[in-house]
Amino acid sequence: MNRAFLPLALIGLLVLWATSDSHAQEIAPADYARVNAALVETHALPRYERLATATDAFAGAAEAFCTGESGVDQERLRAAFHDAMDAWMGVQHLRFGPVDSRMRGFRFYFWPQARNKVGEAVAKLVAADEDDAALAARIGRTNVAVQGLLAAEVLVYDDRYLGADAKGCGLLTAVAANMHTMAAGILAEWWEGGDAFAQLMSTPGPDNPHFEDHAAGTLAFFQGLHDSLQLIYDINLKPVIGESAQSVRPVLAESRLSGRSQRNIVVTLEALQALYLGEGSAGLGDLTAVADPKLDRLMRKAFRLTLATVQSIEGPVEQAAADPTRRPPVEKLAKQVQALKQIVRDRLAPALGLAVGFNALDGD
Amino acid sequence: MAIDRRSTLLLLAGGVAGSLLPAPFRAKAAASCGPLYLSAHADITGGYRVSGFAEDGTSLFDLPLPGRGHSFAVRPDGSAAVHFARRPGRFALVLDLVEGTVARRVEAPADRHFYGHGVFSPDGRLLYVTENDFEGERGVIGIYDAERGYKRLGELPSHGIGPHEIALLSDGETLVVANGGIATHPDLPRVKLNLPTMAPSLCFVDRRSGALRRELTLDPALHRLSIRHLAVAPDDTVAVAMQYEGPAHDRVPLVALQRGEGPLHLLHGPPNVIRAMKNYCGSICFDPSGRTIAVSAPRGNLVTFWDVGSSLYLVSARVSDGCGVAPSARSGEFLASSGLGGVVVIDACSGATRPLAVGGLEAARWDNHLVAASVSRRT
Repeated sequence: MNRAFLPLALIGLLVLWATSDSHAQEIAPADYARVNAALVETHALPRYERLATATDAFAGAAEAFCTGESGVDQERLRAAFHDAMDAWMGVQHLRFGPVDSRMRGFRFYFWPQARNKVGEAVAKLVAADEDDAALAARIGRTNVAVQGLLAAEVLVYDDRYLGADAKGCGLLTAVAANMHTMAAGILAEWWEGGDAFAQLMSTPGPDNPHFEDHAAGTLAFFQGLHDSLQLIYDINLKPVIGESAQSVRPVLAESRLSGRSQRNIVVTLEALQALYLGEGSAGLGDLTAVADPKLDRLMRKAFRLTLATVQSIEGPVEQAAADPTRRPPVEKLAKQVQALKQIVRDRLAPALGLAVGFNALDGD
Repeated sequence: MAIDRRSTLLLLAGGVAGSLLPAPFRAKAAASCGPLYLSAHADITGGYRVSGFAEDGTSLFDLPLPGRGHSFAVRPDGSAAVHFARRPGRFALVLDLVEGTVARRVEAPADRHFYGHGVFSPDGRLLYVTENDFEGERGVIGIYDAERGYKRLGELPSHGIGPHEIALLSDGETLVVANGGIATHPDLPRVKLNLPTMAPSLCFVDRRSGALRRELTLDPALHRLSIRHLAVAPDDTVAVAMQYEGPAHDRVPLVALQRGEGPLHLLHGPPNVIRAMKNYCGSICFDPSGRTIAVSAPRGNLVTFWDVGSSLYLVSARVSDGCGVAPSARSGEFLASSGLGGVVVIDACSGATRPLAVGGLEAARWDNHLVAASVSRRT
């Protein structure tokens, strides 16, 4: 199929399928349990481990940069920041469990933010010129806007903060250490001890506060897939790229300072693809491969082509979208992400035996 | 189960698509007796529409919408209802309930959008509408003059962020508004921008001066419990239905009552019912006696009923993606509509349900709100 026609073809197929007779096969609790266990061990665990490692490395780089001891320059500091961002983008779609407690998700990544709240909060906190130790001690309880990666991005990329005589180092080291504390906490709560979240997920029941049955665990993974696709379209693409190259709104782009808006989408889509395909073990797709092989083939193809499209975008999304010669893949990506989301909602949800209704999905 | 039902409905609708054409609608809505039920819905093609039907299921009108709709403000004489766009929409349609037609389209100002709810003054002249001043990041109550072509006269503060449902107390002067607390901006439609700091409130606002008469809030530990929908009983008891934005496994009260000068009184209910409601209520209404409330929990596929006098949970009924609830003409009886299609009549004592066939709209996927208008008073 000519790739240029793919988005339209996908949407056309959707219309057909939305009205076709799709009999959802009953999925056995043991099958949900098997897929959940595989995703916990081969998807969630390595990705949270990577977040802990990358935030540890970033904290170390921040410390070294600020003390000037081991020759960490701005370039290496920024590289460590990008690793931490990649790690977060690779696991951000898992929104349930320990990351959901103590507002860790917001503290890690307060996005989208309204009206440069992060920039303002960082400026205010740096101007206060607080004692480093005091700031480090209270950072985890302060304004969520200055606790995580967005504050780190401002500090690392805005020259006002880390240049000669600048006063951003105290906040940078506090933020970096705070992120590592959160990542280590998430990891520990998922896998350590008898009341670990992974244990909770594998033993659903009426007294389990999180999961009534194994399907509820699968639903949590499914929601990560659906909601992330929706957010890519609703936040990273539609409002930013506008209707034409003339109506791009770069101010709404994600990671604009660090120039990684395209990379964020690549890493996120790769993570979602891995959630579906599995990572050396079962993924969500294992549940559809038998029940609805046509859907399974469509899902695999849609992921592959959507990823190829985003990888073909040259430069940050907001810049490519504003350049008529570089814009076509950006528009194609928007259509493909939207089509993928519709397939996930209208076909994958029923194929997985998960009810997702008109009112329940996006409430008001 | 829900999926099977939806597939079946889709198939059915596919097979009888011809009957969706507007043939069976009665010409004059006013010819009916009893309540007229109003709701937005999505049709089989995904097109957004708004319909009115009688208590016996007779369709009275079914009109296309320019976008997804939300709720209604019914003029006290029952002659008209204003249907609002879902947030962040900017259209409102004035529906002539006698003719079953769109009498006028009203637009929100460029720097405001509607939240989806509104209420008329007792004389039916002024319409109060919850709106977002998104640049100012504050809620406002737009005032429109129904006798001057719904010209916007000005606005009052809602005294909070994210005002949603609004009603009027029996004094005819005090607006009660649910400030959900959630900041949104049309640049990022439907994205919640301030969940870590949200602060919902129930505010009583003087409709002439805009003065804040009373502001009720929840315990700070419950600051992520969005106060969103409300209903007012004949004796001015206010019932509130909430949506929790915190962790999914937290168990929090979702329904509250407020009487006289009292605070918000949280209804706790049996733990298994609270759990089954999935931290999300879709809509709320009183029965005509004011003794029973219906609260829908569409994520839990549940409509719950509560006794106002004792504050106790009564019973619930399973309605797949059931969100819209409205009183029937009888005490202790309600209608509920499903986002997967279908309307049921529910007895709030027993929880027993019976389907109500809405002529020509069997496949309609009903949107969030079902509102009863009393056209009968005119006939």
